[in-house]
Formats: sequence, structure tokens, C-alpha cells
Amino acid sequence: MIVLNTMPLRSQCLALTALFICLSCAGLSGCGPTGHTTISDPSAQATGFDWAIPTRYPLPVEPLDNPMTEAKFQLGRHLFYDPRLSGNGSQSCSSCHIQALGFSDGRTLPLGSTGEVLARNAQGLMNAAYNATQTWANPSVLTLEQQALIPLFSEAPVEHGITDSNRESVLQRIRDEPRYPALFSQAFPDLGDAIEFASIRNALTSFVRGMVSFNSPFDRFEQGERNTMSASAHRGRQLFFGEALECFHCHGGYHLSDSTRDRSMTFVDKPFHNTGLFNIAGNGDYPDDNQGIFEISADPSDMGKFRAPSLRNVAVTAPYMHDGSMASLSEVIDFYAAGGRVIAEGEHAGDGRMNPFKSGFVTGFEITDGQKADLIAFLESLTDESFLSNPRFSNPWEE
Amino acid sequence: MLVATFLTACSGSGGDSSDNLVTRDISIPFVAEASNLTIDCDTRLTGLGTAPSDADLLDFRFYVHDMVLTDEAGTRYTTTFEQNTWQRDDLALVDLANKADSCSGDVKDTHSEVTGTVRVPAGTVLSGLEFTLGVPSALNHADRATAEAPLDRAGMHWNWQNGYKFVRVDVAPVGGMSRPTDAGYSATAWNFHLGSTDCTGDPQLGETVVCGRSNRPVVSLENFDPDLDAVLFDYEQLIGANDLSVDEAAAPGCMSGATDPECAAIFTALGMDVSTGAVDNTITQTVFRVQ
Repeated sequence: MIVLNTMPLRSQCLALTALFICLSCAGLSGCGPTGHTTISDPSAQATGFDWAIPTRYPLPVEPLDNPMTEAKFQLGRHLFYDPRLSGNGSQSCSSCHIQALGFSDGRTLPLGSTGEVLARNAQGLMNAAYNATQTWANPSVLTLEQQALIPLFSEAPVEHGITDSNRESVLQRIRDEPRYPALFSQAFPDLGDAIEFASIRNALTSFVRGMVSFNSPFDRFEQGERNTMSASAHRGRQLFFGEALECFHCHGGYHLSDSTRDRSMTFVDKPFHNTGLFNIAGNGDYPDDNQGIFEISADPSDMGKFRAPSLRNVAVTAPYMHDGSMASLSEVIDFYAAGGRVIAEGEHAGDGRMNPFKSGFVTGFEITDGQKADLIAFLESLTDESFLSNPRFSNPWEE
Repeated sequence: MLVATFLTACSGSGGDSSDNLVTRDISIPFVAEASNLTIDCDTRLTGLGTAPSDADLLDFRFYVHDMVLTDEAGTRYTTTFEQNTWQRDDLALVDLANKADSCSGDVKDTHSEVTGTVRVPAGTVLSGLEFTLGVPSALNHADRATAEAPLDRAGMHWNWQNGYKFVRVDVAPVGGMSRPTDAGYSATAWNFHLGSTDCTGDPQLGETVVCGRSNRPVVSLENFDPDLDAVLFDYEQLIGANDLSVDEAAAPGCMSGATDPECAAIFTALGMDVSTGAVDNTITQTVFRVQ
């Protein structure tokens, strides 16, 4: 475990945790050596799905009423890429979640099926199954099953635009596609040939839950391979996991986010952070349509708090921040180095560095141009090229 | 009525040893008015709020549950709802919008009479009505993708709050809405969405959902004769303290935000404490009255 010698304390703990889980999984699968320790873990339910990830990582949680199967994953893949799953037939999940971009969309803000601009940047989806909460800032939305209903049925803004009036015609479009009856009956054998939104939702979430991968150069280094990362990326890795920059406090652990849930956990934190992007009129405010979990809790101290996204594939998921307001990783690093963002004029004017609700880890730091290049090289080493082109996650209608 | 009879027959345990109980059919009408105009999709409402504003209806729906009738002595008699596409268990959806698609679509059914039965001693004079606005917690957080009527209406689903809109009353003020602090602001709908907020927990993971703010008003009406009277929802009483041509901050109208300036007076009108989401026993709701 060379990893243990090179990683900072917190990461070491997580590496040890992963090792622990590894032993646990071996015991459950029954194929490990005899006489080893077995660990009672009721949440580690048997899974009939080949997650295709190294055993050192814990598996994501599967909902009790929607266990993973390959048939659901494959049906969900067809639905994910199917624009018939929208009110006007123009938009699929893949309209705003593009595989080559880590399933983000490259836009500052995404557009709904009727042209409305959404308030928040489209996020990458790889390893979303490990998020403790889904979407940018919602402690009420814990599972992909809860999340998926939001884009399908949202009215304000309209995303897929499915409503009470058009839902039957949307379902009929799906039922009329010759490939679907067999896919549905394989995915949901108990339901016969019924095609309803509950099974559509459960298949979509199975596809997204199955989008897991740990195969970036950084991951392969952590798994013991040498020469996967450049010398510059290694220097950047040490900066990233160091106390001077504090990046890892919110973007640490195997998920590169402190918002992490997996089936080894008995207690799950649901963290959100204000990073000092705004401080309108000096009272801590964020723009009116985009105030983080304050919108859910109405707790003044929750103003501007958003979930820290995983940083895997971050180099291909620009632009950045919940509002897509930063175009490049260089701009993001400058922002954190400054300890927040100053907006000199306009309706959002204010010194974000002084936001009273800002995370204690966003205090600013000194960084040279060379160090910044190293940090970017590290962030680029988090790109999982195999995932971005893996045919398992590609558009099945183009096959 | 077959359904109601069947249910009554099954609910014998309510009953009691006394053999003079009788089962009475009930049909509680709900009507909605604003400034003496009956609310429907075809009527332009006038004189609303402090501006005052004119507005066209977009939606007018709400869930009620826990409906109880009382007699002069204050004895409470639980009602049993007829089971149909608008009523399930002790929950009913009242829908007074007579057209689909925010009043712009086809003519559709409304549901203005909550029907069922109540078992009372023979000769009882019923004189009061009480009900709770909203969806009970156990139903509020069940999987909406598999929910059955009347919980299957996507327009009442409040997915981002992991539950239902208990009340959805939306209007389009003529001339739209502006925001004093933002010259670029524009909105077309003054919405009122009531529902539980600040909820967490996932039943699909075996957890119980708990909400920071329940937001379920209790309506208690005296001098209500269930054979003669209707329940009047007075929209002007709900929004009268607001200016419908303006949205000062947060969601357009009031979407149950505890700090949304448009919500404070609305919650007071519903007898609620906006900061806690609990019924405020020091005030009485003014939105519903006997007609």
C-alpha cells in the first residue's frame, strides 16, 4: 500500500476503509480464502449487477424496491437517450448530459424542452450513485429515484415538460416503439408488458446508478499502477491534498466529495458549503433564484450552501459552479486563492470573501503560476477517458 | 353509493355497543369566491389585493383530510369518505378549476363536493365541521411514481420538496408582475403553493421522512349544517394583504417559503405560524367560512 505512505491523513483513513470493505466484500462473495474475518453488514445486500469497479471501493446503495439488474440498466440506457420521454418529443436526458463531457452539457446554464433557461449548471453524472444528496442543493432529495421525477415533471422551469395532460401520449410514444416491449418485460418480468412511469423511472435511475467508474490516471495510481500521472500532476496531487490549499476537505475521499453515501456506511453526512461566490449588499445574500439549501430549509445560515460535486472528469465538465459562472479551471483556482469572489458593480455587487456564511476552509492561499499548472495537471488526471467513450453508456439508438 | 355502503358495513368497530347509531350520507360542497365573484377558469377576477389587480385563474386545487363533524356538545364524529378517483381513505382532492392545462386547455371535471358518511346517534344535530388542509405525512412522502388517485396528479406533485402541494391556487395578474429591486424582473403567475417543507429522509431506504415545517392548517367552522351549508374558500382573504402586481422576493407569489415576504400574511390568514409551519392557536384562520 504505497498509497498509505503518500496520502494525507484523511485519505489514509479512507484508504483503510476501502481495504476493510474489500475484505467484507470478499467474505460475502464467498470466493475469498477460507477462515478470514467476516463482517456483519446488513446494508451490503446481495447484488445481481456487475458494477465493474475495483473491489477496493464500496458499492453504492441500492434502494430496497429498485435493486440493480443488467436488464433495468439496459432499458434505462434506451430511455436516457430517448427524446420521446418529453412533452413535445424534443428532449432526452442526454440533451443536457453528454457522455463525452462526463454527462454534463458544456453550457453555462441548460435549456429545457420549451426553451426555458434553468437556474443551475448541468452536472456530470459519473459516480452520481455515491452522492449523499442529489442535485446541487437539496437535502430532501436523497436518491436518484427522488431526483429523476424533478426533470421529468418540473413546471418551473419546464425541463422534459411531462404534464397531466400529455403524460398518456408520452407513454403511448414509448409503448409504440418496437424495441421497448421486450426491454420492459426483461427489466420488469413481474409487470408483463405494462409500461408505466414508475418502471420508466426505475430503469432510468438504474442506468445512472450504474454509471460508476474508477479508471482515471489518478485512480489507477491509487490502485497501485505506476507512471499513470505526470510529475506535474503528482505535484498537483500533493497541493490538492495539502493543508495550504484545503481542497480535500470538501473534495476528498474516494468520491472526491464530502457528500458521499455508500453501502458500508451506518451514518451519512449531508454537507453543503457556501464558498463566497456572492455577498449581495454585504448581508450574505445570493441571487434571488439561486440561494442553495436556504431554499429548502429557510435557515438564514444556509444561504448560498451547495453540495461539493465530485471532481472526477472535472476537466471536461466546464463551465463551473452551480451557476456555470466560471469558464475554466484556472478561473476556479484563482477564485479559491482569493478566498471568494468580489463583484464590483451591478445588482449582485458585494465582496463574497466576506460572506458571513462562507465555509471555514475557503480562506484563500498563495499559489505560483507553476503550482497552478501542477494543480490543473492533477485535476486533468481525474478524467476517466475510458468512461467517456465506454459503449456501455453510449446511445443505443445509434447502434 | 355502493362503495360507501360497503365501507360502512366494514367499519363496525366504530360502533359501539349503542344500537341507536344511524349512518347518514354527507355531501360537503366547496365553493370559492374572490370579491363576490365565483372562481372558475372563465371568470376574470377583479379587485384583488392591495393594488388592486385583475387576474385570470390558472389553478385552484387543494387536499383535505381528517374531516370531522361536531354536534352542539362538541362531540366529534369522524367521517368516512366515499372512495373514488377524487377521494381515497380519509383524503379528498377538491378541484375547482374547470379546464385543464392551467385553465387554457379542454374542459375537465371538477370536484367540489366531498362525499361519504358519518355515523351518529339518531337525532343528533350536527352543527360544526373541521378538516385539515393537506396530505397526511404517511401519504405525502410515498413514491409519487406509483401513487393512485387522487395522489396521481403530476400538477400536485412537489418533487423538489419530496411531497405534494397541499394547496395550489395560481392566478395570472393582468399586466404581469414586477419586482421593485430588479428592473429586469418579470413574472406572469402569482402562485400559492402550500406544502410541507424542509423534509429529509427516504422511505425507499427504509427511513422515515421528517419535515421541519408541516404547514397543514386546521379549519374549524361553527354553525355549519352539513345538510344545507357549503364551505367557502375566500381567495381575497388569502391574498388580500399582498399586491399581486408585485413580487418582492423569492418564489413568484408564495411557495411556502418561511422567509418569502409574500407568505407572511397568507400564513396568518390560514391560522399558521409561517416560521414554524405549525397551527398558531392564538389566531383564527379567515380564508374558509360557512356559506
